[in-house]
Amino acid sequence: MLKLDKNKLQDFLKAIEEEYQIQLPVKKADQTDFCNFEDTLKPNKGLEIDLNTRLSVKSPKSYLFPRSESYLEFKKDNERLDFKLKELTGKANLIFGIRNCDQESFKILDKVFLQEPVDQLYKRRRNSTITVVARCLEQSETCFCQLFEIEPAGSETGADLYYYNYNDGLYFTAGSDQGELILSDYSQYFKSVEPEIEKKLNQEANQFNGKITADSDNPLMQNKPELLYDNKEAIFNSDIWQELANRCLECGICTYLCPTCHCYDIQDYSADQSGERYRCWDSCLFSNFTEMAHGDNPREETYQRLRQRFFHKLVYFPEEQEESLACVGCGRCLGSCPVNIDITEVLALAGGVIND
Amino acid sequence: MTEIAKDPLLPGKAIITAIRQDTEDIKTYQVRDVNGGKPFDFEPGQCAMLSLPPAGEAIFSITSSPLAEMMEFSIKNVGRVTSEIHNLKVGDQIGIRGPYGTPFPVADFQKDDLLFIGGGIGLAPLRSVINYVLKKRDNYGKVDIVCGCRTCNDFVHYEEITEEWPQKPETDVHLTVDKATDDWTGFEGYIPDYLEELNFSPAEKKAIVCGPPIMIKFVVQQLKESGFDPADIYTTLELKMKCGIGKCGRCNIGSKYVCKDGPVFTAKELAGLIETF
Repeated sequence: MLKLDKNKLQDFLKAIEEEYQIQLPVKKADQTDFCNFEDTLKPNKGLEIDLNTRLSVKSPKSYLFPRSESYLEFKKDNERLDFKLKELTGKANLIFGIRNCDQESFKILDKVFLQEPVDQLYKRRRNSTITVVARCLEQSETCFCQLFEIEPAGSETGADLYYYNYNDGLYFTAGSDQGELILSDYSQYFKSVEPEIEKKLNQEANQFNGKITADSDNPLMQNKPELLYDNKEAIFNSDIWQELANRCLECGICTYLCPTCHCYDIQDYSADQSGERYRCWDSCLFSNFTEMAHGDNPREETYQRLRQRFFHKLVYFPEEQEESLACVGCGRCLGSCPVNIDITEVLALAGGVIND
Repeated sequence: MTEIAKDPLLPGKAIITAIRQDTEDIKTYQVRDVNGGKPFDFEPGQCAMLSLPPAGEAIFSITSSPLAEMMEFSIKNVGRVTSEIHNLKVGDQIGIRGPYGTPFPVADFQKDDLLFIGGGIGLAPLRSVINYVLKKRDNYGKVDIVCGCRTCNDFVHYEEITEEWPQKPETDVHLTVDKATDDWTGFEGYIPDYLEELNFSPAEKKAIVCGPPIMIKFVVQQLKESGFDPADIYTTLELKMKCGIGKCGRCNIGSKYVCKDGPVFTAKELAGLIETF
């Protein structure tokens, strides 16, 4: 374990900026989101590095799978048509201070995009992304990552670096060779850690990682996602979807903020005879998501679309991907839903169906 | 970072080499690569994503046999991309990527009798199998082809249906229209009614069905009632698709993606899905 004094953080980041494009949580007007480190150095922007807010409003998935990504240029010349892939330029991304739920969401995205045929757009970003996880030793009201067997204080591997934010320092350990390399290449910024502090932090982490699992009184833990999986037919056909759909505004905010939602659209943009093809995030809650050109729509009703979203995450994805659930319990969806539809409520309602 | 060598979303280039107007709103396009051959190899039942920027991309079943030296697509003018396709001329270039999806298992069909049932433009994917089977005629048993359309003006590949296929050994073509005109000599009525009259025996027979969802539903139901094993009934599903490679999420149904796990499914597989369309 190595310590970086908080008052040295900016110098350290400036140094590694030679190699990486750094993204980190930044507070602006009371909202914390990932932002370019470079921008925080501009005094007139009012941006402040924020290592304390637990969860950014938007998930960092956009660094692997951008909201909108133009990938193809086309050119038409009479009957002739040409396509050219756009190149990805720039330095590798280093995402500093992401939480372990978001880190785990990258594994879920990997399952989708890196399985054959490999999505090259995703792969090239993934291969040039370094992650630095901020270990959680507390949880927010909307957190439930442990329901999905994610350890908030972090595991040993997955990210390139992990750190504890404790008193006046950030206490780092490496999770990959690349992480080790950063610690050794920039060793002048780090100092050794007293064994008692290391022991104390590790103990706290172990306790916290196991806390909710051990706490059977937590209502969330009585609605394990496996229940839904085991009773899928009854839950699929129950009235809960219509009840939830009566509230749903179909705004799609849950899908946009979700770190594991990965559905996308492909569209062309043109100016005269040339233009670009881009892909952008899309939402299964929108009726035109499945509406076909001739007008048929297999999921015409809101309840069908709402059900599809939860079933995809909790039933279909695990069926397809060796029991891996497509939710990391970050709580963004329930924090942002204007009508308070949340996945833990869905699990509770599903539990009700089972008990009826 | 360098440009990526092979990207599944990058279309290849193809040229329209012939166009035939089949019905008022359906045209069949012959497509070759820029060197005159087939844009890529495929198997019967598979699909291709056609690109017509700036209108975009859309997925179509390949209607020609994999044994043909070019590719054909029968395309109905229903939306933004298809209406642009209907404006194409011979010599125009388009983008093409694929093949996508699991094909009809033509190797497993060997020695069996085959019953093809196509409704309207639903004949397009079946034609790929039919022409493949008729080219390798000796490997297969009796072939029955049932085609139904709204009127006699709505048949796609009409000359092939009425003149070429019936000439093949042990091959019968049965036509029906929802509404007959005076000169119509075939059956008048919906496909399920016609099937009831034709009364095919399910013994040693595979049924291959494609058409509008409602037709597929009734036909599959009827075939099951007349004794067909759901594992011997094949159909294709249609859902909106964008990527073609099981990632964009649009064609997800249960744990399947129609673009890669389908579009060909057996009635048995469909019965195992929690959601039905």
